[in-house]
Amino acid sequence: MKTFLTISVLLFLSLPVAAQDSTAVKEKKENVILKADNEGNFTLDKKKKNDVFIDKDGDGICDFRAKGMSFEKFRKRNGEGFGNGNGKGKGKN
Amino acid sequence: MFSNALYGQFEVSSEFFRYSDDNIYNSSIKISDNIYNAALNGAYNFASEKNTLQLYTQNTMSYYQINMNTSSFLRKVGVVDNLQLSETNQLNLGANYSLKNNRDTFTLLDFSQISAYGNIRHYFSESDFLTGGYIYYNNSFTNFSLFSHDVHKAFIRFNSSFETETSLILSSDLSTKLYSEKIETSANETFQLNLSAQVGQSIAKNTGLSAYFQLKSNLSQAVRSFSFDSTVFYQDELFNDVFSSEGYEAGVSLTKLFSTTFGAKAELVYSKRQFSTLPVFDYDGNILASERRDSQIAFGIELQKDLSSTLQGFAAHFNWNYLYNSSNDSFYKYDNQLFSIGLDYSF
Repeated sequence: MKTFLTISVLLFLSLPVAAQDSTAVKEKKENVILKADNEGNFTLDKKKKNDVFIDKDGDGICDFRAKGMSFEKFRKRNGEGFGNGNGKGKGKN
Repeated sequence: MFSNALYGQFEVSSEFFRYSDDNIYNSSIKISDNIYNAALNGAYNFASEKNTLQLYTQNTMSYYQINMNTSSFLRKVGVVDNLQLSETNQLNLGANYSLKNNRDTFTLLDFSQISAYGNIRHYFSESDFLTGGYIYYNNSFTNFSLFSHDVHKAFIRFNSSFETETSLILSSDLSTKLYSEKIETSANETFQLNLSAQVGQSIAKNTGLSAYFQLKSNLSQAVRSFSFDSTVFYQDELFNDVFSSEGYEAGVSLTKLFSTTFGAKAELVYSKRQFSTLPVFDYDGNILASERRDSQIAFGIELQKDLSSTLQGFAAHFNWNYLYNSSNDSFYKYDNQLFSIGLDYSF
């Protein structure tokens, strides 16, 4: 029981630690970007990235502009897959 | 596989849609219904600098207001791993298990699926990349073991975007279906080849035009049926078997983003399919033609609005779809109109 309680307390305490780790990683990434910024490359890189036309889904819209918008559901119900058993079954032996 | 900096993150999403469908079984006997679709999905990511491992679950309930026995419940659990091998190479590996439960007599159609996949993507530049991979499915029909089968699919796809604000997608896949139960008197396997090309073109700011053409060819065929009470049931009619037909599909779409939170899309699709192993019968059981041939025209509009400014994480959708299917089998000569409205939420 004591062991169980100890493990439980450790697990509970580890949650904020994990969260801190996550924040630390993010901060580290931001520092890398910031460093690039100090070297004078960030502005150029950012401009370059927005200017490059990348359209992975082929809809004719640049993915950077379409970020967050998805029309996948449009085709959802027209797609092929498993049916609802709508067989007519009218053929005879 | 994992670097030392590892952190976890929860993702939850749900959606609720109401469909108004005037032909739920897509046949000449039009039966309409209102369908309520609710989904709850959850995922947990273990992420590091070069690797993301995700465990996820998807649960979808489809409730038919009038034809309640058509309602179903689909559950799926899966794992996917995304590994950055180098600056130009990315590896994806995953596996899923799905289970579909129906109601009343439709429980006869219950099935489970195990799938696994692996693909590798190579970037030639920021805008050009090649993806190749393999997908495996095992579809198991509890009450129709005769139809249970394995599918192996190999695919390759090339994506490219140009300075002219044009994009190109070329893809090809080869699939084979192997029935689990071998029958000596009929074919036990089938091969299918798919080729497709899609071109996208930006025609104005935040406005895109897209066109695609897809060709599906059966290199060999095997279709199964069973008889009950002097009536023959074909696999395609029960389970929409993708291997039972071949043909082509062509479509054009216009997408417009009015703002960063509001977009619209219109699409027109024409397809022609032939079912070379599916004869056409009249209602007395006489064969009218050796194979069924369908052509279909479909049109649809979707509006999508991100509501995050007032309701964090919410988005609203509205769809209208209309299709007309022409066939040499009068049972499959029908039209279908579908309205849907829904909300989805994710954080």
